[in-house]
Amino acid sequence: MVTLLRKELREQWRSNRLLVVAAVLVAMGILGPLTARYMNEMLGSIPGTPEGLEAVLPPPTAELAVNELAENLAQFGLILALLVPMAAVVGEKTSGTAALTLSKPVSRGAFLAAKLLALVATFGLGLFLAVGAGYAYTGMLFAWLPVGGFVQLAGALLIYLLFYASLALLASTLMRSQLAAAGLAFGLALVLGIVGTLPAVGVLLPSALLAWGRSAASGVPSELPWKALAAASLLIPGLLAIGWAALRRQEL
Amino acid sequence: MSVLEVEGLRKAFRQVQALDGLSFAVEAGTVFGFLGPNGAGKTTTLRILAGLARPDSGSACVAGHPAGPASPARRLVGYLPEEPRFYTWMTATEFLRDYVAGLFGLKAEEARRRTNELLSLVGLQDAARRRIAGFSRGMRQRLGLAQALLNRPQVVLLDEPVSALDPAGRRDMLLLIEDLRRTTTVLMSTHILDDVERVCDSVGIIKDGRMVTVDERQALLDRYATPRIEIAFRAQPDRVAAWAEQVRRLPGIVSAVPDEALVRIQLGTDLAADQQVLAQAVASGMPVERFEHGRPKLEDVFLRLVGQAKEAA
Repeated sequence: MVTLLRKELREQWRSNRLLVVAAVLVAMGILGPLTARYMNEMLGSIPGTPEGLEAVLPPPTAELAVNELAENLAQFGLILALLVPMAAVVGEKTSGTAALTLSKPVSRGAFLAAKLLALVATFGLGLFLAVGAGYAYTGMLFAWLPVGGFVQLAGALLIYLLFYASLALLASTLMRSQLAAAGLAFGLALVLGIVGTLPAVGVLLPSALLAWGRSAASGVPSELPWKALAAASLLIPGLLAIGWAALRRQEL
Repeated sequence: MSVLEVEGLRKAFRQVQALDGLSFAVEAGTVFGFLGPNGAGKTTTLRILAGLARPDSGSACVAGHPAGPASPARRLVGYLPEEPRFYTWMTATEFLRDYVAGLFGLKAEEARRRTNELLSLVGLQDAARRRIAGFSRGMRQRLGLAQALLNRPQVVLLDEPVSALDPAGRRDMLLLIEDLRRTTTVLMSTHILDDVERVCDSVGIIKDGRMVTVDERQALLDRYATPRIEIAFRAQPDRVAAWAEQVRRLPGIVSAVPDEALVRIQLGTDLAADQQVLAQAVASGMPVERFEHGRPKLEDVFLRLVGQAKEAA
């Protein structure tokens, strides 16, 4: 397992996936407070902007900066969480490297778990840097908010993104091509997005954690959505277990 | 003592019956040539033995352990697929020392020593620190053999190990395989008959998922290969062809095939028939450039047995 994890981490580094994830998330982390602070001024300086538009736009505040930060990271992070694991298993199956590895005394569960742990590391580091950058810019441009709230926001985002990364990893295990894996992952994410609008379902999905993280980072503590946290704690290992059960039956 | 035992193995892929009751055993410390035409079921058998596929029925055992995706047999096996694929961003050393050795749980010092030994054995020591992405097919094949040997396996499964190599690389690889019988048992699948003749102690011929015959190489040659004669004339091809037609009708002659000024003659069980052929050649009046008894070849055995299996089917 340690060998597999070390290989996965090294691959994340050598293939520049770690760098790309971190760079995109950090860029989004910086962009959130920046747009909150300068959007009104930018719109005002564009010739032809309708008069009075600035008045209807929300005033730049630290809370707006946190909202922009959280939304940017959730949206772009979601795309990354679906794209990065897309080839993780199916790519190895089609290229033949999975056969070479799994002919050795390695469990298929460990093969998958190492991939998920590497995703935890990649997105964990990316979010740490991105939320850190967002915290610094919010502090410099608005006010220095409690660090603890940003840690909670980073934690909520990490669980949210890991859920979708697990979904994409499952799709990569089930499908026979990268394109099909991507299609299934995006399809499932879309279905969850639609189903999640039902209040009874929405409170159970990891997206419910984002509002809590946003409030915490804004310095307005709110109650932890236990149901969503518990569901995510079951769903992430559950998706891994389904993938493991499928991979065990597959021939390479 | 048999280290590999396959009994009544069956495997179908939808409508295609890849293995149809395949049975054979391989003695420890030998090189076993697993011979068959393309699509005969060689790769499927090797994948089952390597734990990458499951049979529909029957059994495959490595050193007494049933082969399978979670079997302890995987510790005892080294497997080289037909086209080995690697993580091309790794160097050869990283792949062997850090990855494959780690999967087998080798200690760091042992992993380092074994990696150096094997890179030197397969002639890749100068490329040890190069990324695999820049390796030629031959280099990849040699790295594939190194990874198959890293755990000092009791059984090495080689799927067409020389098919991608140039003549020099092929010779080197066959020498390596020949040497392996001192330390391990080799099951080598191939459709290149010369390679089997060169390195294998025993041979199994597979056709349509069934074992047509299995025996020691020499015993197979003695049993099935028939004597051959080659005669080269200095004459017009049409005269030579006419002469070949005459010879074909002689008793004890299986076939006489002209090829320009050369005639290849397959004799039956009557070994004295060669005297008749010689007498006919002299009587023809055409100058004889060469008269040669051909060595019985595995190719004859293979074509005869595979042909029979085809007719029986």
